[in-house]
Amino acid sequence: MTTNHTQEILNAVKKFGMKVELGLNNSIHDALNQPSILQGLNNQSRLVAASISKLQQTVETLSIPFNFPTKNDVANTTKLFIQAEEKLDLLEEQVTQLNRSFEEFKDTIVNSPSFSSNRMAGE
Amino acid sequence: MSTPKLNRWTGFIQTISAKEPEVGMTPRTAVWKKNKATLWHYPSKNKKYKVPLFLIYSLINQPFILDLGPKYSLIEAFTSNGFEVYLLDFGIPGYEDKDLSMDDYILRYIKKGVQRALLHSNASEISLIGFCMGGTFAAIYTSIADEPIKNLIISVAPIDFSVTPIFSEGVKMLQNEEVNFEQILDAWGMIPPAYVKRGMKLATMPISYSPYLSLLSHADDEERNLKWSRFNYWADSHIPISAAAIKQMIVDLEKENKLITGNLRIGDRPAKLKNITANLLAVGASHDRLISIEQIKPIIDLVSSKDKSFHILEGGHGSLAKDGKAPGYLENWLADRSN
Repeated sequence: MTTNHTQEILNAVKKFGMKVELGLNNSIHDALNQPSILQGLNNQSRLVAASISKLQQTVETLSIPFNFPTKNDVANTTKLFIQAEEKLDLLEEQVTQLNRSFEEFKDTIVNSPSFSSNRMAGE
Repeated sequence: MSTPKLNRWTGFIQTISAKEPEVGMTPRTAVWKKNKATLWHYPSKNKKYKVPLFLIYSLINQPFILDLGPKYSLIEAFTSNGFEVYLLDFGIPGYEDKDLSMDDYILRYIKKGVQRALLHSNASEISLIGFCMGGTFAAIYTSIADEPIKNLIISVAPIDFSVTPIFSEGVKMLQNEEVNFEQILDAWGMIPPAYVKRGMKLATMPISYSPYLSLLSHADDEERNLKWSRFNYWADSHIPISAAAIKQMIVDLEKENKLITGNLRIGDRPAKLKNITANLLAVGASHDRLISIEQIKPIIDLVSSKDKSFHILEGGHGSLAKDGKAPGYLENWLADRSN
């Protein structure tokens, strides 16, 4: 009885909570979906982007005299590995295709009438 | 024996403070790897269908939502029903992948993955199932595919970007070029997972406490708690996304709506939806706050497929993936078209 009662209360709390949550979220969406706010966000993002780019350029410049690798250096090296992997992938595909063609060719020869008659003559 | 009340609170505390739960337990083998991507094969013990399934998930979350655990796995449901399943897991990209564009995902990963799955399965045709943006990518790929795609299923995948269920003003401003986020995207290169998560939360539920109310209401049920913690773990497991992919999606899909206008090009090929002749099932969710039914439905009129249908699923954005079972309509639809 108590368990059922608790469950009922919790279900009611859940239902009410979800309704309030939906209302709050809709209000937030409506408040943010204003041209002035979005324009402000856009301006802010441009400022942040410019600062990040300047910082990145400074780090790249400093990496030369201080002789440390940057994230771009590591990324460029990794890209070489990915290129090599793609070349290997292509080779693997070609070998598989060649194998398949070879198997098909073998089947054609074995099943051809001339091959069967030659084999019987040989026996 | 503890009282039910104690059990409930103990269950609640235990669940929210538990370590990361084990996920993705359906037996699988990797058949192909490239960069961070892996093509997984899930064999079926009682294979009934000749046409294997190829699953494509979104770029911002991990695909283990499709295999949350025993009895809660869509992949397990498919393999038990006699389907061979292949899952293309894009992996977690790093800074070196910041130039990966939509073209790259489609041509270097999806196309190659499908070729590998066909080779591995020895099948003459394949079915694609794409979830969320994975569904949009599946549709784009099918429109340029040389590979034999027999069936295409897109689940909660946006196609028409002229319809915007959220931030309609923002999208309008983006389309009119009054706002432009290219500079910040270029500066970041890769969008960190924390930002992806915040962005998704902002777009759907900026305030989100209802999952905890839901947990409390069933916290005395260990099995449901485990399912909750697995799902919650997935909901927090966002991955970085490359700025190049976002930029291409913003320009080609959101701003210029090229999938609908028919002007989209992938590589050097026109990706027109009318090129699609595969059997098509498009699925929308009735309570999806992210992708509305109006964004999905137009694909039905634009493809050349003779066999095409639209289904509305009761539930939210992740319903089909997280419920861990193949719903009857999907199972029957696939069964009729997989031999």
